[in-house]
Amino acid sequence: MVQDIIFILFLSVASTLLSEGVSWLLVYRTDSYKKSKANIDRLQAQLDKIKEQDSNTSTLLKKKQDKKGEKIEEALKIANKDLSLSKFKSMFFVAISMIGLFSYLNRIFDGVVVCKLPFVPIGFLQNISHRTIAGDDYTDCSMTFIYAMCSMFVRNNIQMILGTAPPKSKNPFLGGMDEKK
Amino acid sequence: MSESKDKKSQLFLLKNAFYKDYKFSNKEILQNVHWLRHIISIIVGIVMGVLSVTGYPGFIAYLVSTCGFVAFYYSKFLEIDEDEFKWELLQEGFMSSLTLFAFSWILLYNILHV
Repeated sequence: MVQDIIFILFLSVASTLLSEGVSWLLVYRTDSYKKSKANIDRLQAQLDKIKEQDSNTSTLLKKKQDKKGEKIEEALKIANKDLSLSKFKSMFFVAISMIGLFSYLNRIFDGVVVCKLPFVPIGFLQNISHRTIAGDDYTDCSMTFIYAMCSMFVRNNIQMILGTAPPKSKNPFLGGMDEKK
Repeated sequence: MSESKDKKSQLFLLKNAFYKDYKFSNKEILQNVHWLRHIISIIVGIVMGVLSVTGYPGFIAYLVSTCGFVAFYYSKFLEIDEDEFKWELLQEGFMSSLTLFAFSWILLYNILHV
């Protein structure tokens, strides 16, 4: 059982490194990517500066700065859009290889109990953790659950270490909520 | 990858995470919180696995320890008082540290108790 978990973790690390490598080959080393990344960093720094000043200025100045901040935010949004568009090429390739890897794993671990969970997952997660496994013992865990979990933290952290993490939207859960202001 | 010269390495930032005198930018604070949170969630996961805790107490321990730590860190060391940024810090790396915690818990539990 433990070997299976380690194997899945290893595969997930390897596939993430590979996909980052492909992304580097196709996207990160191109000049247009570097340029738009630098652009975003610059705009972000400007925005932070304005926000920092915001708290200790008079109301008259504040209005002026708010306007400036809004303008920069708008430019930042456009730049982020450009950046994610430029990543599209590599995303396509990565998606295909992920599907391939996943179907390969599915074939090896079909109906295999990879590990025992120390907890019973809640409702909708049971569909994932108990996939292709017979029986009613919901602490039996399938490959899909472990793989999904691994890829979640491995991908996130490797991108963080390499400095290629996609720029975060301000509010990932409430996207677009703050536009009403 | 082109990186600006004044950008500090993440290891350097982590080493200085508990010096009150050091002035961090918002981005650096977010990075620090991200990594500290992951370190804590691995430790909590290993402890839960070794103690063979089962069920919801494990998740509660995770939530209390990481969120408690982040709250302690920003109020005692960073002395931040913007609510919006506090909220952002609490969310930073939440999903990935949660899955990392669950993974280390499951791994230890399977090695030692199954």
